[in-house]
Amino acid sequence: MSRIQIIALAVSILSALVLFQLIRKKRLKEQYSLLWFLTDMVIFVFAVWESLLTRISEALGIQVPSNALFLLALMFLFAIVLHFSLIASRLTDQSKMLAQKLALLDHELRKEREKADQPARSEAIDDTL
Amino acid sequence: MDNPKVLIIIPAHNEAASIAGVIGDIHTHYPSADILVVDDGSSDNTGEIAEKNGAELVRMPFNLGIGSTVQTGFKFAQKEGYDVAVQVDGDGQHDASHLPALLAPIIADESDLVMGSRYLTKTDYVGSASRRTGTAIFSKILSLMLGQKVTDATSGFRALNRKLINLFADDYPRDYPEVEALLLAHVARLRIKEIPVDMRQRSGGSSSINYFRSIYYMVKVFLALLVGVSRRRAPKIL
Repeated sequence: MSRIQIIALAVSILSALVLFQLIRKKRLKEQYSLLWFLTDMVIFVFAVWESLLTRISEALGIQVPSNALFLLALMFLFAIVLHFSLIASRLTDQSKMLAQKLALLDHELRKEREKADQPARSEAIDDTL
Repeated sequence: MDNPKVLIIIPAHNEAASIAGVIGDIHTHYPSADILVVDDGSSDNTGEIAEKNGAELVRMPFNLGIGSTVQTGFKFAQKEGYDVAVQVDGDGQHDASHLPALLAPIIADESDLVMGSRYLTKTDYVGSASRRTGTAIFSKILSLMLGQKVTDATSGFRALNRKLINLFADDYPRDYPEVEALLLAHVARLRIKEIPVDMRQRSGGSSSINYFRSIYYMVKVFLALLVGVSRRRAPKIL
């Protein structure tokens, strides 16, 4: 096993542990960790299976194997960033609906309190008379 | 429609200087309507002034932008069972004396959405060059899409009936909503009409003519129109 293989292997195992720990501490939701685990597994496979990258680059017609790696890495990052944009869009919608609901409920609550206050006050006046 | 329940929705963001005047004008020209001010996270006392002047007040917890603010008004109208909702800007540029004319086609059930147009007849409204150009372009595009003449697609002075209140309470664009909302109404096969109105120039404050923002505006609305046309399905609630 070459030195770079060992480093790549160590990195992939270490990042899997970090991801696992983040989930355990509830700082990362499982659903958002899946793409990261997938990325990590790909690194792992490349580290163990040395000739895979060369084979892929040959199949894709890429002369330098490292360029195939860059291409794959970019595609993965693209997928992850798009995934985040989808999440951001959904959260934007949800926060908008929450804010609207809150504003309307706040109005309703103030109206109810006013209504509850008024009879109480007029009773109090009746008592003093 | 006999004795329709009418709600005037005023979206307001830092309009303390003009809001009392706007509410007063509406009381004068359309006394039977209820007035709702939706305060979009103002940092001044717009909300207190509105309440003191007899308007209902709904306060957004933070600044959400004009589309979501107006939509909150539609949700209120839907919840409280209003027959007609009218949108009037809080900065005083919409003249309340046009309210009866704006509402007449809705009450007579000749139209589902009525817009006040600055360009239907010659008025004194000038506006900035970029605003006029943008409005002209979108009006042309919408005229083609709707198969009817639209002269002032970006006008925020509009009245709508129960069908559109329900539609917009469910789905309304978040920012720069005016143009897109017309397409939504058209896709739902509702009747749209324009009537001529005067609009005042913004008395003070910033008319926010920002170069990059106008480009964002154009691109965003173009994209929204493109997507809107490709959707073209009858909404489920009608």
